[in-house]
Amino acid sequence: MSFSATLRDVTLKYRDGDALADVNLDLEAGKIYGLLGRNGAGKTSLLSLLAAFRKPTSGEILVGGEPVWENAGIVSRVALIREGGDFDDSDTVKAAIETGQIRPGFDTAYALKLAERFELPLKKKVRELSRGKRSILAAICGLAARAELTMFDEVHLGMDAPTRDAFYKELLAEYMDRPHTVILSTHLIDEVANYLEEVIIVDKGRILRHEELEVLQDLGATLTGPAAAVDDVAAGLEVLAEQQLGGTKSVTVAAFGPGTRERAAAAGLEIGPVGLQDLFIHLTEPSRNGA
Amino acid sequence: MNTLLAQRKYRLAIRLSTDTAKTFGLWAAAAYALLQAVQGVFRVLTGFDADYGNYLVGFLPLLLLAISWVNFVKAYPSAIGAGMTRREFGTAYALFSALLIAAGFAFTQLIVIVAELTDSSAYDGFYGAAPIDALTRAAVYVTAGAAAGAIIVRFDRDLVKGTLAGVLIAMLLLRQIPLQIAASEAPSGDGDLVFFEFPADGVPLAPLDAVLTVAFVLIAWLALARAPMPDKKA
Repeated sequence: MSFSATLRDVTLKYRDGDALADVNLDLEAGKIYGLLGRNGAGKTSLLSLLAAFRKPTSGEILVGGEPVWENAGIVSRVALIREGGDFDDSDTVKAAIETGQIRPGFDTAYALKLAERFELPLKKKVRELSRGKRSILAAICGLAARAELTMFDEVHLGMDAPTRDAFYKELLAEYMDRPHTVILSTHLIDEVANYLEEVIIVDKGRILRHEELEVLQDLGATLTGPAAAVDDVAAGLEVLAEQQLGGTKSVTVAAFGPGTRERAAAAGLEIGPVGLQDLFIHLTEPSRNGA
Repeated sequence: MNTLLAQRKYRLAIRLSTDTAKTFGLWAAAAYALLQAVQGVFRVLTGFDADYGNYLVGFLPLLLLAISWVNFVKAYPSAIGAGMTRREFGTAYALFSALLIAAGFAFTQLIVIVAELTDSSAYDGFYGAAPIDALTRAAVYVTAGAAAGAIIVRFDRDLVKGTLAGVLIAMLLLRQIPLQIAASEAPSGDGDLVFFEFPADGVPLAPLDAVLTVAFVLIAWLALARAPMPDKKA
């Protein structure tokens, strides 16, 4: 069983303003979601509410169809893994892993197996770990939680590229083996794009977009071909990014309609999907949102 | 699965108690043994019959307060992060606090009994020596530590949480002064200058501590009920 999640008219105020304002969001169970947003957009606040780390100022939050706040049956099966994890730094790595046993579903054997694979020193104190190793410990505890809703908030920070790749693969393997709902909040957008089924873009405390990945990618396109032909087709379109190597040019454009697609095809250009990161930058451009 | 869920608060209480026993408990026992040894050597070498155990009895409440405060602040993020509710954490912490109070009471009584066996009069009139005093004294310091810990996790702003925790601890440490002044200014009092001594004559500390214990438990519970998860430092 995996958890759905629903936010109804949710507002979260801090003393210096609204972190989230009138947010409505429905997440189906059993999918991998990407949560994207600029710094301070409200991603962590949103995840904190779903994990009952905070109580909203107003509104309703349902996880698995039930209110999440102070609901032991639900929160014990929801895992929010924050950067560096929430450990007692004076614990050893082994003790920190065993703290996860507070969750009835926690798989200690799996966690220890992953710790060995990622070469975590079990006898070392958590405070003695490097940033990368600490992130790995947090990620391992998130995977081994065997939760019905697992959220990773910038958990990759400090991990090197091979470790991040191994983590994503392990996450996918665990997801295939035991379907559940996953939310990945990250700034390394293109790195996780292949794993995502739906994307939620948060901007200034509001949900800017919530679409399937393909729908979002169809909002633009990457055109590659002879520079002159590319410039001709792209003329008048909003260019998000461009690269040129010799006579070959590649541009990423937004608002790619059927007419433009036909012209590009007729000009012999290669039409590829838009990069999620380019699209994200474009959609959250401050000038675009009246900032 | 349901049994595991229902019992996890007890497992957390046992874990906190075991960790504390293995650290602070052993250190306190070692400190007492060391004091007894030093005392014995002095007695043999100089004939001076001192009782250094009273230093431990004097500092024990502050140690209990520190243990309770530090454990609360350290255990709360781990427990909530691992999917516990505040109610479950509160229950686990209440059980841990009860065990800590019992340990504080037992330790004080052990020191007093050993002193009595050696005909020491070091604890005559000492607040905390009588069994009921030992219990209320341990209870008020442990619950004050928990309440201060709950205030620390409840409020985001350093100034607010620091001030509130400071006020709470000041309330605890200065608790007998208002009663002393009131007793002096009452019709039956002497209305004279008040000399602050601890414990003061005529101030019923045990009942006062019992009342304060209830107040601190309420403060801890109310603060915990809406406490957010502490933010991660960027």
